[in-house]
Amino acid sequence: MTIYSLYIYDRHCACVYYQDWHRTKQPKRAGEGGILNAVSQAVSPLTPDGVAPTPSAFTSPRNTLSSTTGLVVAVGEDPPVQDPVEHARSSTLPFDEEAKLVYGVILSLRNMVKKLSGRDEQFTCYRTSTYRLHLYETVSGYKFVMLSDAATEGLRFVLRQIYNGPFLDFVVRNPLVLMDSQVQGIDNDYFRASIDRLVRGLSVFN
Amino acid sequence: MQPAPASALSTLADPPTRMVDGAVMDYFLIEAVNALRVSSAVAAARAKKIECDMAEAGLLPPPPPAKQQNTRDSISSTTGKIMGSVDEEEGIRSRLEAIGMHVGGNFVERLCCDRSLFSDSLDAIKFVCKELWVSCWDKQVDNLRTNHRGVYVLQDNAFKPIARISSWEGRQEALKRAKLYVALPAGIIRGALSRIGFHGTVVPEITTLPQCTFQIKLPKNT
Repeated sequence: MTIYSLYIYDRHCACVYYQDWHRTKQPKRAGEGGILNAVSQAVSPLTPDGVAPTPSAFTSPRNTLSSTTGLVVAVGEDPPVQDPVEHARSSTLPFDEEAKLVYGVILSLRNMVKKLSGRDEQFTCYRTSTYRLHLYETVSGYKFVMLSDAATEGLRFVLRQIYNGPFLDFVVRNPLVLMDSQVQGIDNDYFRASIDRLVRGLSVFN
Repeated sequence: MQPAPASALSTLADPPTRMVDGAVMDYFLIEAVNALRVSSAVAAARAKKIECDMAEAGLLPPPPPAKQQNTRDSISSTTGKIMGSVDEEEGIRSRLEAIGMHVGGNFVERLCCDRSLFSDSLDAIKFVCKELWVSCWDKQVDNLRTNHRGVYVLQDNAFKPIARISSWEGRQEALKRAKLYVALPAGIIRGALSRIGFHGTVVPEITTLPQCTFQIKLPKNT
């Protein structure tokens, strides 16, 4: 039972934050102008002189599960874990396209659910054979998306905890974060650290 | 025996403490800094325009040219740019401190209404460290040092207004931007002391977030 990654989207349909804990393949960096500035150090485009931005202390140790072929053959009986939005030809998408794909999926599912059942129904979660996607949407239009393995249920509550705790404290009440700007994400040190602490402290995190 | 007038009188004599919601205060201060940034830019632009007009009319000597292309003057042009942004910061900072002085003075009037007079400046500083800090920021000052000649250094290891400041560009950038957000608290302290009768200066300094020190210089004759 484990948690793979977290995406946060704002009401302008842009990805404003990304963090991951377990991924088989490193996300490919976004192209220039693909994603906003302050989304995540690990997936921002490289600066023109080729210097990578200084890594935050909380990039996950991806080599726990990484391999060159993208498949993990674990020691136990678990089936191989695949990156959920991996391209069919097993070449990784750049991060901005991956983020747009995830957003497209949740937007279409959300609209479909609302059309089928009325405006009070909310799409919360879907499950495939290898992963489960949980969605928590706030009234202000922020969408918290978390991917976990297929057996984990009830992460919507965790997303709500992330909203009530780290998000309110270090994004809304942080004078240096421009919320609702269309040019910048919401990444910052304290936010990343507190989400990391919260997620690693969960019982479903292995 | 009529209980109604008695309770009304007691509320008048001993009014309940009025409180401000902490979160609301945070949001307000964030927006206040942004609004003051815009207004101080407008004021600076207006002053500059008046200067240019007066220079054109011959009433003032012309201002020194702002941009020069020689390599020798490349230093001066960069300092010109840096000075521009420093002036702008200074404009916001002085406005924030002025607001803080008003707030601090009026606030301390209410806090001191039941107290006796202050015996000396150390007494006033101790009042600031304990009561003012508790009323404004929910804790007391962590460390007070003095050289007994009018200079006091107050240190707070987790100063509330800057406790949440964090930037995606790293610690150094966050520290630089945080300097603006301690101008209002410095003004509150200065205004409070000034209303009690001790007119001095308060200089805030941030070494590492969220630790902040305030250096207070009071005149020596008290």
